[in-house]
Amino acid sequence: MRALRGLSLVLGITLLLMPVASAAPVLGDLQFQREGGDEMAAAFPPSIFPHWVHRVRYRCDACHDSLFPMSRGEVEISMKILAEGKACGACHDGTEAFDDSFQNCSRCHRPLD
Amino acid sequence: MASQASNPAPVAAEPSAGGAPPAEVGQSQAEQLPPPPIEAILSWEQAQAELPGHAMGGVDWNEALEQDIIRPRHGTDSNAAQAPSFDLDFYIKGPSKAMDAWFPHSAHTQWLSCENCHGSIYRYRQQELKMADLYAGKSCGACHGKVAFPVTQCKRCHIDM
Repeated sequence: MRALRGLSLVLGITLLLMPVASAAPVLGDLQFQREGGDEMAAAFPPSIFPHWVHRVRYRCDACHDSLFPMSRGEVEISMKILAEGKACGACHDGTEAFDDSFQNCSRCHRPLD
Repeated sequence: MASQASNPAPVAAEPSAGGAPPAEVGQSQAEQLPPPPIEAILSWEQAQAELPGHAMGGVDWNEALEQDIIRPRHGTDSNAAQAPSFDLDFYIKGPSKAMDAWFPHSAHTQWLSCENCHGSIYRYRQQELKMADLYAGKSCGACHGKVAFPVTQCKRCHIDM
């Protein structure tokens, strides 16, 4: 009986911890904050940036500091700026990496994992 | 990156008359090889399973390089592609031997150019370094804790602690 109580205590703690563990974000991943935009834009989550996806493929200095300084919030990012080949658009052009066409919206505009 | 050079290329280079294709200007050694299989993975759970973990937690990204699991490319800066890693590894002196912090330039320059840190985060010469700055997201804390292993993993720098 004592063993059972011990087991239930262990299980209780495990269940309590599990949601926290699964919600732990990947180190370096971030979700941008939207500033401005209309009602249509508000229907989409702001873009994510999964650092790990990029780190698997590129050295830090592929983007830092030429495209993005190390500190956050210093570069304006918008669909218009991407279309000009700046910021994410330097690679996300449909050749080097997927572009901003409609089948790709939710690859960036989604909640962080 | 001597260890990468000693690893056999897992996939043969494109066939050409003279064997391996000549390196293009601005292409590093890693960039002459095809992308590794891990680049096809888009889920963190699956990628994490392929990446080596560190005993103190998190991914050991430099070990991933050593094992040739990832071959991160340079951007468009052709000077960066030609730059060799810089092997000036040293201790940052602490108040005692146990508090000395190991700084391997060699590990950092596999990812970063000199000017990523020098000029903005550090001067080119030695300067005072405080844990309080790290906790405030400055100095090493500009990356460590944000995208590189966190400062709570004390022994990864204080290796004699």
